[in-house]
Formats: sequence, C-alpha cells, structure tokens
Amino acid sequence: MFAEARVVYFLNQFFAGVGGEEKANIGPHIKEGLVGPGPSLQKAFENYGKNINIVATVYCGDNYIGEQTEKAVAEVVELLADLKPDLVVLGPAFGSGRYGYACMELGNAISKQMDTFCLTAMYSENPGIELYKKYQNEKLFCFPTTDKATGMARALEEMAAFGVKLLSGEPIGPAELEGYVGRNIRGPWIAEKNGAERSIDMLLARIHGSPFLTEIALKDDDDAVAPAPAVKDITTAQIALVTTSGMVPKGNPDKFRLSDNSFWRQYSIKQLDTLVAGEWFSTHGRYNTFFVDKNPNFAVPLDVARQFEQEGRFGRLTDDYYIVPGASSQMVNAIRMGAEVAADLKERGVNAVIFTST
Amino acid sequence: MAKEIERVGIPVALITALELLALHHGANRVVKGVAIPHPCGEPEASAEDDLKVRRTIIDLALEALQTEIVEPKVFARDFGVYTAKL
Amino acid sequence: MRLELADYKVTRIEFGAQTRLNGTTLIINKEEIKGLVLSDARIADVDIHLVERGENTRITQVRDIIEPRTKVNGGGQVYPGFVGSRELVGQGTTNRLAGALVIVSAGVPHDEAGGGHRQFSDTIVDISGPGALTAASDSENVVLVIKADSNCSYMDYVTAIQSAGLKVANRLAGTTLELTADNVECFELPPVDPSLPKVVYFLGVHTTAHDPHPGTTFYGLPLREVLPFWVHPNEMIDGAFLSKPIIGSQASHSAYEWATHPVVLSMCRRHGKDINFLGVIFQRIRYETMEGKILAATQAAKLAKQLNADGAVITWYFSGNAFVDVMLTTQACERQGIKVVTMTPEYSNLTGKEYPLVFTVPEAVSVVSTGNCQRFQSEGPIKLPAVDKVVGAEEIKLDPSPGAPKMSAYGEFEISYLLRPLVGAIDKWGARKVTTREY
Repeated sequence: MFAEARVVYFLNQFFAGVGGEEKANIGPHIKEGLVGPGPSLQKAFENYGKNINIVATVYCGDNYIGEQTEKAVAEVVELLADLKPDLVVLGPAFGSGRYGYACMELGNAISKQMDTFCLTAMYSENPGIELYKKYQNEKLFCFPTTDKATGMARALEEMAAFGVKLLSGEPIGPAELEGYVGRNIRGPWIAEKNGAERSIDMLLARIHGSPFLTEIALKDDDDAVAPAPAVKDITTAQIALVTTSGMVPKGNPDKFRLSDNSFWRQYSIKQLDTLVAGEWFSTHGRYNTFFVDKNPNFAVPLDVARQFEQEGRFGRLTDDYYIVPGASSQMVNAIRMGAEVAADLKERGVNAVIFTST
Repeated sequence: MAKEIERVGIPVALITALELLALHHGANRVVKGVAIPHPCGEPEASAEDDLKVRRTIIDLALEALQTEIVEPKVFARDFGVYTAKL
Repeated sequence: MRLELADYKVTRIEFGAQTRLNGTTLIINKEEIKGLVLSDARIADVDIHLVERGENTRITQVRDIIEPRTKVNGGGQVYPGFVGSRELVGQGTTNRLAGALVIVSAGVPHDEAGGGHRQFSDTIVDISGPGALTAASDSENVVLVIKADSNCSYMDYVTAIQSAGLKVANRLAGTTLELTADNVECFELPPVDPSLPKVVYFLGVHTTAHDPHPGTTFYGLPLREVLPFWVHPNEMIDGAFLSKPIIGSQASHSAYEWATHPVVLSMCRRHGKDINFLGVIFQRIRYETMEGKILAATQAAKLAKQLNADGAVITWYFSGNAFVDVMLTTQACERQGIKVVTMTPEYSNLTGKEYPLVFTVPEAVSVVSTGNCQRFQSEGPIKLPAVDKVVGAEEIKLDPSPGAPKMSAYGEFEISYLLRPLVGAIDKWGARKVTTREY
C-alpha cells in the first residue's frame, strides 16, 4: 500500500489541445497539472480513494518523436528526471499510428531508464503494438482500445484501475486475466486441471470441432536474414571454421560446461593439418561425443579443409577455429555471441564461414 | 547463430544432419551432413571412404558459398558410402 | 486384458521383528531386507533409513523411487525382467502399498561411453520445502542407501542397484497377501460406444542407443533404436517400463512415475466415458539423422491409422533434437486426418521471453504446456533451503561438468542449471497443473 503516488501524463500535441497536424513537429513541453483528458484520468484515479496525483503533463509532437526518436526520448526523460514519477501514463493513442509509436517508444525507454511502470493504451492494429510485443518489457503495459477516440472514457478507467494495482505492488496476473495486451512474456500459471487432463480435453475439442486455445502458438515468421552474397572469388577467399560441436583442446582450458555456456572462444589451428584424437575433445553434453572424440575432424573438418587449401580450392583458412556453445544456451546469449563472432570475423577480413553443427 | 554472421554479409555454409531444424532457425545455405554425432564423417567406413565423405561435404560447402541464392537452400549429395546409422 | 489394482493403505513404517503389514503400519525386519539386498554379490553394503512424509529431510543421489507392488495372480510378476520373468503382465490382480515408497540412493561411477570425462550429477529429493516435487513428500519412505561394488562393470552396477530397489519394493508389497484391500480399481479396455472418439497415446521416449544403458527398458529389454510398438496400459501399471536408475528431472523417470503414468491412467479412466482409448504407442525418439526421424514418425502414424485413431496425445523428453521427431509425428498424423495434441514443457529461458519450442511444423496447432522448465514456478532459479537431515551422500555434485565442485548436501542451493538434479522438477507427462500464460 502506498500513501501517495505521483503520476506523469504524456499526450501528443493534439490531445494536449495545442493543435493538429500543423503542430506535429513541436518538441517536448511540460506543464504542471491537468491537460486534455487529464482531468478525466485524475477523476478516474480518485475513484480508488488513494492519494494519486497527476503532477505534470508532458506533451510532444508526433512527428518530432517519429523523426528523431532517440533525441526526443532523451529530452523527455530529462524533463521527467526531477519529477520522480511513480507511474507514467501515455495516451490512449487509439488508432493513431504515430502517436502509438511515440507512446510505446517513450514508455519503453522511460520504464527502463527510470525504473518506473509505464502504462499506455491503443487499438490492436496500431503499429505500436508490434513494438510492444518485441520489447517484452516487464514494466510496460498496454490496454486495448477502440480505433476511434469514442473509447476514451473506458480506456482511462481501465488504465486508472490497473495503475492503482501497479502502484499497490499487487502481483500482476497474466494478460488475459488482467485485460492488458500480452507482451510475449511467458510466466508461470496454475491451471485448473493437470496437463494430462487438459491434453485429452484439448484433443476432444479438436475432434469434435469445438473451439480450443493452444497453450503455445506457432511462431510468427520473424527475423529471417536475407542470404549473404556469394563469395566472388573463392580461390582468394579467407575461410573460417566455426562449430557448435563443443570441440576444445584437451584439458578444456576455458572450462566450457556441458551445456548452457555464455561465451565463445577461438583456438589455434595454425600449423595443423588435422585434429589429432586425444589433443581435442568435445564438452557438449547433449550428443554422443564418442565419435568426435575418436576423430575430431568429424566435428571440425580440418584435415580436409587443409587439403582443399593446399589444392588451391580456396584462399586460406583463418589461424583459429571458433567454438560457439551449442547445447541449451539461452537464445539471448546465442544472439549476442553470434553478433560478437560476426564482428570478429569481419574485422579479420574473413570472406566465408564453414559452420558445423551437431 | 549462423544468422548473425550472415547479417554482417559473410556467407555461411552450415553443415548439419538436421537440415529441417537448421532451416527452421533461419539458416540459408545448409549442407547435409552425415549424422548428429558425426556431421562431417562416417565412422563405420574405412579411413579412405571416410575421407571421401568429408571431401564431398567440404566440396558442397564451397559450392554453397559460391552460389547466389534468394531463399534458403539445402545442398546435398549421395555420399556413395554405406551408412548403418539411422 | 483385465487388471485389478488393489490398494493397501500405509500410514506409518517402523522397524520390527517380522516384516508384515499390521493395519496401516508397515513393519520391516531390517536384517531380512538387508539380507535380501546383499544377496546380490555386486552389492557391497546397504543401510536402511525411514523417512516420514513432510520431514525436513533431503535424500541425495536418488536413483529410483518405487511403489511396492506385487502380482497376486494373472501371470508374471511386477517389474518384469527384474523381479518378474519376461512373461506378459497386466492381468489378474496386483496389490500395491498405497502411501509407501522405496527410494534407492547410491553413488554412480562415470559413464563409459559418450566421453569418460562426463560424470552424472547427483540428484536430490527434498521431502518438504520448495523443492519437494515428488510423491515421497506425501508418503512413508524406506530409503536404501546402497554401496555397490565399484569394480563391476557399469551395466552390472546399475542393474544391481536397480534390482535391489525393485526386489525390496516387491517384497514389501508381499505383506498384503492374505489381507483385504482398502480399495480396488479395475483397468480394462472393453468395447465401448462406437461413436466415442478413438484416441491413442504416443509415448515418446528418448534413448541413447550408444550408451551401455540406453535409458529405458521394456520387460528388462534395453530399448535402443526400436521402431514404434503397441503397449497395453495394464503392462505399464505392472511396471513393464523402467528407466536407467539415474533419474534427475531431465534424464528419466522413476519406477513410480512409470507405473502411475498420468496420461495413461487418465485415458484408462475416461475410456467409455468420453473417449475410446486404443492404447499406447511407444515411440523411440532422438534418431540421429533426419531419415531416422522421418521413418519413426511415419511408422508411428501408420500404427495409429491402422488402429483407426481419430486423435492422439503425444509427449516426449529431452533433448532438443528429439522434439523434431515429435513434430514430424504430429505432421504425419495430421496429414492422415489424425488430430494430435502435443504436451510439452517449454524452454522459454529464465525470463520467459524466448520462443518456447525448438522446432515446429505448421500442423502443430494444439499444444499443451507443462510450464517453463527453465523458470519453473518461481521468479528465477529455485532456492532450496538448508535442511536438518540428509539421507544418502552428504557431499554432492550438482553440476556434472568436469571439474565442477562438490558441496554439502545440508546447505542452501540455487538450482538454475536446467533443474537437472532436482527430481520431479520438470513435468513431462502432465501430472501437475503448472503451466504458463502470456504476461
């Protein structure tokens, strides 16, 4: 429970009553007290009998934020710094794309930089929602609204009610229970029936053609990377060997674990024509390493790569091979490590990679 | 992970026995390997045949690296060697 | 096949002059049971401890949890291949001690194949507290702390400790003969209303074909690269399937879990009510080539189609590439008009922000989640508190990586390393209500 709470309210130029399109380029301004829908929001908070006050309103032109987001966000954060809000409410943006974008970018940045809850609302098709799901920000919540501003009263009430919950430190339940739009964060929940019963129930629903809700939806095709251009002249190309097989020099000098590692390494293959059994072994805990321990070239094909190099099939091998963890490493680490390795390869002038995976 | 390397413009030939899994994770140039625990070789074969298998795989990798593609592609070839493992 | 499973309730266990069941008190003659265990020459020593439900106790190096059962009639004996012969089981009458468990604790030498540098992590069963995730918390437990002869081969070693637990469990259930059961449940699959949906259960089991013990046995036969085969649920109730006696939360299942399989028992109990249960299809997963996975998947789907299934539930366990087999089976079935529900734990990372499945097919439209196995129920790693009493090794190794340290079993632990050492932490068969929701 809290004695009092300070709220800052963010609006765009239109809802702040400053003007329409012609004012979309104005920078961030701050005004003490209530502006635009502010009084309604304040009243909604007062319904809960708590001492919650909108201490200031920040407004900014949609285009200003859209065209120089980083700068605009930094400026807003600076305006808020001295205010020390307990909660920041942004919007509702309804179907307005630029406003939705602004609310989401600001909400994300403010919640992270000031460690404050941020609350916004917009229509389900607003492009801001896509950002929201991408950010997966535990301190940022968005409620669904109508497309047009006809839903203003309802949106403000929902945000006020939820804001009070956040301020009270109450545990927040899943999206479908609390009414906010899901953030693609999977959290724990106790169902009414155990998994076995739910599986049979779900199967019956499918067989009978009744509605059902899958508990894990298929992934949207996200982040595909366009193929990198082919190597123009392979005979002069520098090729690097990269592997997730867990192959390391005997003794495991960098102490890779059997799984869930978060770092990568390079080991020298400079004068080597092959990887000799006993000098290398695999630390990967999730496949049968018997074969690669007997012949490491099954995992890092150095013997043949060296032959091809000597036969002039390609320019040269890098002096080291790269080992990146393969077993159960967390995706966020995998992406970071991939980016680090990529940067390293680029710096070395590597033209192509032969990547082995077990 | 191979995706992150391709993102900076370096082509990657990914050798794996599970081409469907690699494609699912966004790999673009996939070279079909032998089996999960020995993607680049055939332990049941003679040393000579095993080397031939590996040469075929690296040959495919080089081919993949030199091929312009617009969408993901699997590069595979019959290794011509008996493999007992499934 | 008709099986009557008769319950004999146990509320207390104590040592006494004669091994018998007196009302709901199980009395154990310590020397007799010790003698039974030591009759196997591969076992050097055994100590027997009693652990009551709800105690503040941690049992370490747990290798199996077994419910005392014995067949009265019907052919064969429970835990065929270990206690019983290989005769068909699943008929007649089987008695069980309801509320009692035998727990085996033993150190294990390192695995010979798959890299001699790999050691198994030591597993933990907490009887109470946040890590209390097994049936042992609500049971009276007889713990056998076994020292096997470390000079014998790996297979002899694991077989010896496994057999010891199973034999003792069977012997204790033998105290029920001549007594009247508290409750009897009947298991059979008679013909039912033909309009009820016909349903099979695909039991996806990961085997490491190359290991001396591949992970799972059926009637004592190690299953390596087998193709799918049909199993009657009653065979499972009589203990036909057993895992390698290692059991962490990932690697395998206790004998208790196998004999009380939640999907199998639910389907049996719903047979004739809202489903027509056609039985279990065992499917070995984790083939090491795409071709192997496709073969197993299409053969499994073929079996289901031959049985005229309308739908199936499929479960599996680790690691990642084995899920490809599961998804391919789903695809093969759906393409033949057999609807499939996949039940699986998730890998969404400690934060819950990663896509939970390592592979999917477009046909996987109905999935049940048994929770995030990397985050479990808490906000982060599970913290196990310090305990007053430890049964089993007092110094244990939780991280199996070479060079990882040993720690005192009495102490506090943070279990974040994929929950592996904590028995019962990951729900693979839907025994619990833990799941996830979007936040």
